[in-house]
Amino acid sequence: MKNRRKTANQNKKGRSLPKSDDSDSNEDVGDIFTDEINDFTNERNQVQRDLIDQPSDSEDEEELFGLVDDDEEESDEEIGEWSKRLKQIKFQAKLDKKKPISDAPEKSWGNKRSDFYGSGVRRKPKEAESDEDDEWTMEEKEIEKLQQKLDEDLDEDDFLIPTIPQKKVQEKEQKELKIKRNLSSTEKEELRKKLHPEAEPLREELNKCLEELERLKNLTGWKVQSRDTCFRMLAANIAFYLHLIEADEDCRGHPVLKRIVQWKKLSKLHEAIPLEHMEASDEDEDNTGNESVVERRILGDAAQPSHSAKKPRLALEDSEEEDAADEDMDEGESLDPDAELDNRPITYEMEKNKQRKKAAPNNPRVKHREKFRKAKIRRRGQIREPKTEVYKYQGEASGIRAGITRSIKFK
Amino acid sequence: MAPPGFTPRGGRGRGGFGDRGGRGGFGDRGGRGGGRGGRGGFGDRGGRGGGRGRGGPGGRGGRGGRGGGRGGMRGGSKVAVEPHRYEGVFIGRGGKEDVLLTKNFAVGESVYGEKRISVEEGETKIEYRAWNPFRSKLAAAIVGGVGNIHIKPGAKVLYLGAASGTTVSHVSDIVGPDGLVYAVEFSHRSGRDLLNVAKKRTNIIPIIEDARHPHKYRMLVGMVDVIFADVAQPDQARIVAVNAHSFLKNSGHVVISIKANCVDSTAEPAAVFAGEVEKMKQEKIKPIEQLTLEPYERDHAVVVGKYRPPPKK
Amino acid sequence: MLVLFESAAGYALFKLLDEAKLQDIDNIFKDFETPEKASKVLKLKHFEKFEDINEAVAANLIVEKDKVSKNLKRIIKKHILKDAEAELAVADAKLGKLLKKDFDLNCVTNSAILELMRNIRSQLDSFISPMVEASHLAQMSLGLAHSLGRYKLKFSPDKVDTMIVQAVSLLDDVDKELNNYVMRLREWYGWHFPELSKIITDNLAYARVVKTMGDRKNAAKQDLSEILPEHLDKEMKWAAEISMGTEISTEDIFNIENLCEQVIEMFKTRDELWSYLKERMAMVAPNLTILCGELVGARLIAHAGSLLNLAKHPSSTVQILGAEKALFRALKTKHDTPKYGLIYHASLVGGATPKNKGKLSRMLAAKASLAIRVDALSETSDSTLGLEQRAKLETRVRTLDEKAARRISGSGKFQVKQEKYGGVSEVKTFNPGMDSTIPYGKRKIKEEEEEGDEDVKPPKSKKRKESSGGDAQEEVEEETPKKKKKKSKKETKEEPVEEPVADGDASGKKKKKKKKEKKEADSDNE
Repeated sequence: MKNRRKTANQNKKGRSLPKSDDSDSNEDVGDIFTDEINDFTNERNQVQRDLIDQPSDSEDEEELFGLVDDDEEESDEEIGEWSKRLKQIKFQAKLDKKKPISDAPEKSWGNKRSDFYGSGVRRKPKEAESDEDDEWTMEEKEIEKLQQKLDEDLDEDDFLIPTIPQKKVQEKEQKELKIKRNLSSTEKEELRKKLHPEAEPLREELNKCLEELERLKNLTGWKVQSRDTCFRMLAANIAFYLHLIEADEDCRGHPVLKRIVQWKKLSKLHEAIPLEHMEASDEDEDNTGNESVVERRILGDAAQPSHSAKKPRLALEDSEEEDAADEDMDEGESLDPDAELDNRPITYEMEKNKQRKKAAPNNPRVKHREKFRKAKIRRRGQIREPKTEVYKYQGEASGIRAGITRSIKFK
Repeated sequence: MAPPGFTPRGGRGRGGFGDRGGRGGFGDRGGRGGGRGGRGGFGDRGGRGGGRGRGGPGGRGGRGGRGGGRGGMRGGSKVAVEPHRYEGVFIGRGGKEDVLLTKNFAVGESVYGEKRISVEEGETKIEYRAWNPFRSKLAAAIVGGVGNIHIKPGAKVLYLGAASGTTVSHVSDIVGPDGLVYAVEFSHRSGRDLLNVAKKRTNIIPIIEDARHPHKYRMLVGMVDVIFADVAQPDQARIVAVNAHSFLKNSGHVVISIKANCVDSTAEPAAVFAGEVEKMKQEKIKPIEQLTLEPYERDHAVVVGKYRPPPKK
Repeated sequence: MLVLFESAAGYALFKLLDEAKLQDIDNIFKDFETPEKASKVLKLKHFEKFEDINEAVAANLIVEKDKVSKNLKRIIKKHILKDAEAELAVADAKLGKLLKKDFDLNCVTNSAILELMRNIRSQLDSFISPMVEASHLAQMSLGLAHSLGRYKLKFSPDKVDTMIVQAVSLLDDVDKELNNYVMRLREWYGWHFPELSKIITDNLAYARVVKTMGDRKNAAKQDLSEILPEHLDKEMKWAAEISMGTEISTEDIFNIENLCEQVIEMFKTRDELWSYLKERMAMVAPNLTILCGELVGARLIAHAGSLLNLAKHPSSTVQILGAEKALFRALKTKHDTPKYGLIYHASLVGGATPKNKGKLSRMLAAKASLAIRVDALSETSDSTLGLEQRAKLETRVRTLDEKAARRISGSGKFQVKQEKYGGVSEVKTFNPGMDSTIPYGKRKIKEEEEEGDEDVKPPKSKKRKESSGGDAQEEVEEETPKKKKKKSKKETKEEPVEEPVADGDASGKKKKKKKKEKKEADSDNE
């Protein structure tokens, strides 16, 4: 079989070769003084030759009507001359034509598919016995082609030198960093003040909290306790933030800020109620009907700090630390009108998460179709569909259960 | 242009039957009368083998051979055999599939190319044959879950509509050497095959007569315990009745397989079955239970009845 | 009332002791619950045993023919006719009528009687136990059933195809063994007289010669005219004189002669077996035998396993039965499947031209499968179909040949097929073989004659005509004198140019060359 193939190929090549050889010999012997017509045909044949010649070179075959004798008739010098002139002409022709070569990658490699795919390993080994001249000419041509393409691709921009100034900028930045490391403690304090102007008011806040806590120390009751917790938390958060500042840490997006805001809000609510109220209502343990509206609201609000935190959270996302303190004030005022929107409870639907039944289709045809589908499923559950013995019987796939009786008893 | 049923000499038949193995392996020597022992596969069926009567069932073995690359009981697979609720019937539990089995009365022979399983019981080897519910109405009834088939070891069975003896062979396996099977078949073609089956099994008495006239074979038949009827005739109720009057003992049982299409092709199957049950009642056969044979057969039912039940006091 | 009950073991005649029981038939079963009770109702008067199965079969079947069996007659005469008023209860109405007709005996058959019969059957063992054992009864019924069955199915031992299968296998075995023995004999005796092996090619003759001759010294004295033809006899005697074989002792000769005897015996048995096979084939499958011959038919049956099996195969299978290896190989490699299997050896196919063998094998297989089915499945063995088919096939063979012959002339029904013009290769090669040193004039005539000789062959392509090396003129001349040449050919009966038609165009040139040379040689000789 293989032999057949080879011979077939050989036949094919055998037939093609004489053509190419004929054309070569024609060109060598005949009209070297270029005609337009000749040029045209040469160029046209050029492509074909490229496609055909490469594989044929690799085969070692006898040409059927090989005109090998022709080469011997002419001297090598003459052949060399002819081939050189030929090359020149072809090159010129190419330059004149100025084919617009696109930036497609195919152009930069080759025309053939095998140039892109495959490992590049030649299946058919190149024969060393083939005419060296031809090889060299082929190579040369290829080299020229590639170079030409590259030449066309080049612009003036490709010859530009990269600009220098960019480097300078980088140096400057580095300089600044260096300076920072040599700061003294006083300078540090100054810097801190510059960066964190809110530190002072926060310290005052902290003191206030501590005072409040002092006052609440001796009191009892759950309301008092909640107030106490609130102020404690506030104090703790502020203290932590101050600690961060002291430690020169980057606290721009720290979540502690949000917490401070939240607790601050709560504390404001607590401050709105005087202490006596807290103590007085302590005696009424069952608060079912006796709660004042204000208290309820406070309780409601206190129970859901997350809601109150939403607003400041949203506000804090974009701003710097300086804005946080301002916003605290703002949020306290805007709390009340937004209360209804903030404190919505979850609905029954959300809680139970029931799936909604797909309503029976309005279209009667579709309805009947659905019905039939359901009826088929039910029927399949009732009885087993009778099957024919398609494959050779291999046994019961679902097992044989001896104990159960499925027959209908008569009475 | 591949000719069907062609198997190269000495090769295995299609369907991948394995060699007769040890514990629970499958074994098959195609067909009957395979005289030359030790030669597996389908090739040697009766060709160079034992003598067979005219029109021997040569092609039987090849029938089962084709097709099915499914899993399940392949040759050489291990099978655990356990007894069924009915005496004489067994279940083979294989890896993926279960199969109904009967103990082979004529050891080493396959009647219609069915699979055989050999199991070692201590010293002895017992051979079982697989029972195909697609081929046999009785097997379909058993697998489908009928209450009681009443065919047990030692019973005497009158089998009407024996055909080529495929189910009859299984009934013969169940009743064993103490029982008897009177197989009645009128067709000559099937009768030949039935005769061949009966040659190998001495508890089958083949009767090549029309079941409509039981007096024609009254010399051959004694009283029986069970009548199994698979005649597929429109007047099958009458046939069964006449035979019951002649040969079935009091309190004997009747198992009838009714093909609705056969009795009345225009009526609803349920109506046909009800009609047949009515006819049975008139002939003093009290119906006990009814079972349809899905998924093995379409519009078939098996009705079990009791003949002349003793009056309740 | 007397009750006649038939069983497999024999006829039982009971006397009904209590007539009243018949009125209360529904409750009679109670009386038959135990043997003791039953014996109170009925008494066994006489039991006529069947001696063997054939009697039983006869007794069973004879009712069909409206006759009464001997046993029954005996019973009736002995026991019943004495009693004038006797009424006989029988199970079969037909039998009752018969008895009435023959013996003027009142027979009763009604549902009550049937009920009674049923009850008797249930207690039959106890009734006839003194006469017949239960096991004997069981055996009798089994044997009777089988016999009846065989009778019903018209089972004839002649039609058993297993015999054919066995006989063919045995034939092959015998042939193989015979070949072995003969080879051994030749080798063995060749030690003493090697030339004889080459002289006498026939095995049987060799064995006989060796047996009669023994030592080659006796060659001259022997009269082997009945064994050998004249010229062989002469040759043998001459060879015996100048033989280069060694001497052997008398014991050796003795043993060799034993072997010869064995061989001759085997030949005889083979012949007998062959005639037996032919006989059997004619019985079992007459139509197939007529169509294909005994041996081929027997081989087909043996290959398929049984006649019924063979009948199930389609005709395409019958055509290639025996060539499975080639068939499956061709199917696997997607080549052409074989055209014939065992059928190839049938005389019809063997006698055809190689080109027609394929066609004939197909036709024969088609007819043969029909014949096989008739043989396997028909109730009667009839060979009309076989004869008809054979005649048809033979006429068809003849038309096939004629068709090929007539086509060239292009007359009547069989017009010449105008072949479509296909591209003719224009590569012209110079064929030096056509060069001839003989002067032109003579050559021309010979060429014409040769063109005429080719009339038998199917028309060739243009290329061949070109390459014949002739002019266009010659082509024209060819066509016109073709008919004349054909006639002349037939008349003169020139040299046998019956080269097989199947040779392709490629060898045409060579053939022509050969013919030319032949003609030249002959002309030269003359």
